[in-house]
Amino acid sequence: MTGFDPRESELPAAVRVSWEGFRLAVVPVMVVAALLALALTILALGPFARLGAPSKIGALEGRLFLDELMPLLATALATARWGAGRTAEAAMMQHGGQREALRLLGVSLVRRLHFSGMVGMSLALPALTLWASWAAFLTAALTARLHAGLPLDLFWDEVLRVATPADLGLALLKAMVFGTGVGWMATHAGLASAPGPHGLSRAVSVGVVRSTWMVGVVNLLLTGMWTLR
Amino acid sequence: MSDRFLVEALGVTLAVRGRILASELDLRVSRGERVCLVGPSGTGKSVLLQTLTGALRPAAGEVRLFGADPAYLPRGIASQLGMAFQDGALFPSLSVRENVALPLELAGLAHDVSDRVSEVLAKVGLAGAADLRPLDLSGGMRKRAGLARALVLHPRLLLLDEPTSGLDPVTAREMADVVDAVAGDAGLLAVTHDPILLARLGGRVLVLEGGRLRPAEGDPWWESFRLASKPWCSC
Repeated sequence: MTGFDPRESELPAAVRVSWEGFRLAVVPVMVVAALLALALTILALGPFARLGAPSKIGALEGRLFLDELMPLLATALATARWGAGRTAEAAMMQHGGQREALRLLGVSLVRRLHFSGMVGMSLALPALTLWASWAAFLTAALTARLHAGLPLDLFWDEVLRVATPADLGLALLKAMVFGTGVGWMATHAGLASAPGPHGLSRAVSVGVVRSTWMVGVVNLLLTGMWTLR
Repeated sequence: MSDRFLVEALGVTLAVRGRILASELDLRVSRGERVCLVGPSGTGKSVLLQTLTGALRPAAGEVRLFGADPAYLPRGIASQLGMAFQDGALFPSLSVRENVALPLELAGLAHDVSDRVSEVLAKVGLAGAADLRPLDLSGGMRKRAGLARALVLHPRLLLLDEPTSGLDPVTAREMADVVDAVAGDAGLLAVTHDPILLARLGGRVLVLEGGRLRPAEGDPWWESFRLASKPWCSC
């Protein structure tokens, strides 16, 4: 992370946070997405082949990856990489006097950090979700081709049959909501931390755990609403 | 409450996480006046300073800074206040020059930055370190950079939280000289344990001890402090 610049106003800070969150997490997100797709495809291809319908692997993975796994995966890794750093940075500024120094200059560090975190991550996570989905589908298609000889176009046809533009919209909406929540929680955990090394480590832990709970609950609600609509 | 005073605290009770540190504190700092706050460690001197600036709310009593509630200082009033924190509270992503220029930029005085920053850095003896980052500075240099940032807007009131603590005696004496020279006719409230700084600044000395704030003259703790400080300084 490049560190908080008190001269930046809210919007440029949010754009910087967005780019930083994306840059920090994009490689691990794509690698883990690809490995996940590889394992799932190999595991699921056998039963589908025995049923005489190996192409249905595309139908299984289409919505599973797009609606569920990739927004969650992108959020988990962004929370670990960007969120933990933001919590630590906010805690250091809280206890190092920088928050108070800015307040005495008429600037709210709390508002700047929260705004930039929430807006920045609500932009970064949809982008990460798209990249993760792309890596997962590409890996799954290639694995199915190499492992079971499934033609690429057949795999894509099945994916596109079940995963509609509305599913893409749901994935992006989820990622935006998760990003907003993670941006707020990571910053809040740091600003509300106790002083000292123990306070810092506890704040980082609290930020990650609360973000994970938030993502789990919000995901359940959004998926439930989507399924029952 | 009156706006004749830069700082006014009446009947203030200090509490941290529910623990009462001091109560019924009255403190006033007039324009151009120098006040030093001394007392044993842990009695709440820094907490009092944080309460006066609005970072903490008093458990009871009332605080006014320039006649206003310090928790909601308008930017125009905030620019009349300079505060030097114990370890500088510098922003690590900015150079010393950028840290010192920050109050000017936030006050919309960008056209004035270069000259005023160079002037104030020269005053605190950091002209040669302007392009260094805070992590590259020694503790004393960080304190001086923090002091430079507090001074760059030529504030009417300067608040100093232990500006010489943790410094070797030579650097502490240099720092005391710098503070004395640069404070000029600004009102000043300093929390300190340093007899050298006390002697250099002069002004009124108050003792915060046993949960009470008292004038130093005739105070038993102050007499013990003076006795213990005699080998170094006659404050």
